[in-house]
Amino acid sequence: MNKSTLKVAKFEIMRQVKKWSFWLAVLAMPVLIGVGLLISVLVSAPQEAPTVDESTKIAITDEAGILPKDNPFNLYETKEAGIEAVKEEKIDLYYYIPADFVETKKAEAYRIQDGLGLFDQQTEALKAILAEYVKNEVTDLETLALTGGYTIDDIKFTSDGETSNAIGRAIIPAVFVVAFFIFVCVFGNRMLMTVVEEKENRVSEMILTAVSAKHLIVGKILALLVLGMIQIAVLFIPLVIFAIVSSGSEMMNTILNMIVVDPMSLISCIVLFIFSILLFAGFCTYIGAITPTAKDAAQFIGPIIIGVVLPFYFMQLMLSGEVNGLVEFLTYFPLSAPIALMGRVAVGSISTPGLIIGIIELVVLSVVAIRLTVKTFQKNAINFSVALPKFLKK
Amino acid sequence: MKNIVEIKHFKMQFGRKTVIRDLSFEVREGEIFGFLGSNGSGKTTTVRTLLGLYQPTSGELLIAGKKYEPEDVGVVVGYLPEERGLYRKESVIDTMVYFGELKGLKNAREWSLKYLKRVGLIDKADERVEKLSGGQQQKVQLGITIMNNPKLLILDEPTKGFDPVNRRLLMDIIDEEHEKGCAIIMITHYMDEVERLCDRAILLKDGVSRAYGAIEEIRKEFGGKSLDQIFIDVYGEEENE
Repeated sequence: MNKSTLKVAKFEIMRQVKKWSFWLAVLAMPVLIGVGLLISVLVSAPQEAPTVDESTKIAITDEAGILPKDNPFNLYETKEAGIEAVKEEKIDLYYYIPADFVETKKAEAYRIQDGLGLFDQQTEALKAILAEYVKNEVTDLETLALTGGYTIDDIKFTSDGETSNAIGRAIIPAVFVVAFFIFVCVFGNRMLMTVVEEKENRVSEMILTAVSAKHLIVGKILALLVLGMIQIAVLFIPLVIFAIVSSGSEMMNTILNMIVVDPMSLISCIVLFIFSILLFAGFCTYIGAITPTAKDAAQFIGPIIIGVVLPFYFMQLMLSGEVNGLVEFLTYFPLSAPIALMGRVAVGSISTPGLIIGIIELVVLSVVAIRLTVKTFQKNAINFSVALPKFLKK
Repeated sequence: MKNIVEIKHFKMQFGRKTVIRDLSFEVREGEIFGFLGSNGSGKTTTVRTLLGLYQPTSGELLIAGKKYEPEDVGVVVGYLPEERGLYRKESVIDTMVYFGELKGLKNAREWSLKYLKRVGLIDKADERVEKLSGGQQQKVQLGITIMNNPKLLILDEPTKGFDPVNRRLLMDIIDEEHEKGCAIIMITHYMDEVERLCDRAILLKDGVSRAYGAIEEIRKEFGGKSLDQIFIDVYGEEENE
């Protein structure tokens, strides 16, 4: 690689990694994901374990006759008496099962408000009590059949008669999709700004007499790729360490055993990932090259990212494996092609010729976009007051 | 004396507008050359084309016999453009080292620190460029321009915006570089500077040369008038006509 390109890349990398804002952006993603996971665990925890414990005083008025008369919850004959007991805080929780419970499928719960009560699950306690009493009346087999409390191993075969493991095969391509998405979100704006910066700071005339436009742009893109890899490493290295540390656990073994490493799919994803990033970089830097200021460039990032993530809006369609006009459009439309292609490799819904066409498209377009950026930057770099092209103004 | 710059039948058009019609001149090794003309006469366009920033419509623009390539190790060129700027968010020393490395200066950090000490900015080395005053930033730009012993310095309105102290500093540096054998092209509107510093000059009007040669020859050609008066006469022709 050209020395000047490497010097530009080194400068661009060093100036970013020295900034706290870079590390804030890099660390924000794993921290947000961690916080999201923590919240989901906290929210889902009460659903698994109702907050009703043995000390909770419960009464039930069962007019439907599900429970035996001598059950310990039968403290009040009427609904009114039960509600009054709750209000006077003689009991914590009162359930009323009406006589037409089987028809209406509705019972009532009464208690004193405690906080917003968004996540408490006291209503689940009645279900647990009823199930406990009813299960004595039926066999375990009948209970299992009625409650559906069992799992079904869903074994599928490929058209070749081999056992299929669609989810296991999709994991690695999905990792590439996630990595690309993160790259787009974190570095999209930076890519736009990296080229416009020279013009805005009036440095381009000086710098272009020291380094060619080609080496300057390629160096900048190279730097962003390295910075993107740092971002992805920050996100995935903790996951890999976690996987290694907990490799003995049953859950981790299940997950690891499920992952299928298909060499062709892996190679396809690596190629798609590299050229997807180059194509995205080409788009962003081209916008940077044609716009005179950072402010002008910034208004393009939204439409570009929407174009890139378009396949996510049609996720169900993409994952269904169905191939129709819309799926084909998303697969080969330059902005949406990266995620659509990697997504279709994940679900195995793209044919080999289709994949080859997609890869060729990404390679050709990324090279064209970067070359166009270099030419445009060379042309516009010293036109500090250059106006946007008419079609972009519109 | 050999020519370091050769411009032959240079023509430049932007769309339908012809900026340079047919321009030919040479700059010799080690001389100070004045490039004169009013605003919009095509001086900056000529320099930008010479440095490969624009493509000429026709003609040849050569430095040391070749089309200029930024990374060509043949001739080191220092260029102080009219539109000047630096990376505002970066430190002074990082900016200088970056440009130094791009220009192939091996000890860029040492050279930069030495230069900053000379111009009284050593305590600002780790400051962000945006924290420096306009004059201080100009000193940094000048440092970047003269890095790596240039054989050709192109200074586009070098004293524009300089206070008297920095102007003196600039002139000292120009003298030093000249003494080292560096050829200097000065684009300026200050005719007194041209008469005092330049060996030869060219006066451009409407994209063609109106006067070209040694300063004394030009003055002789125009009846011994001062350069200031020659400039006024040439640009006054149109109004008189």
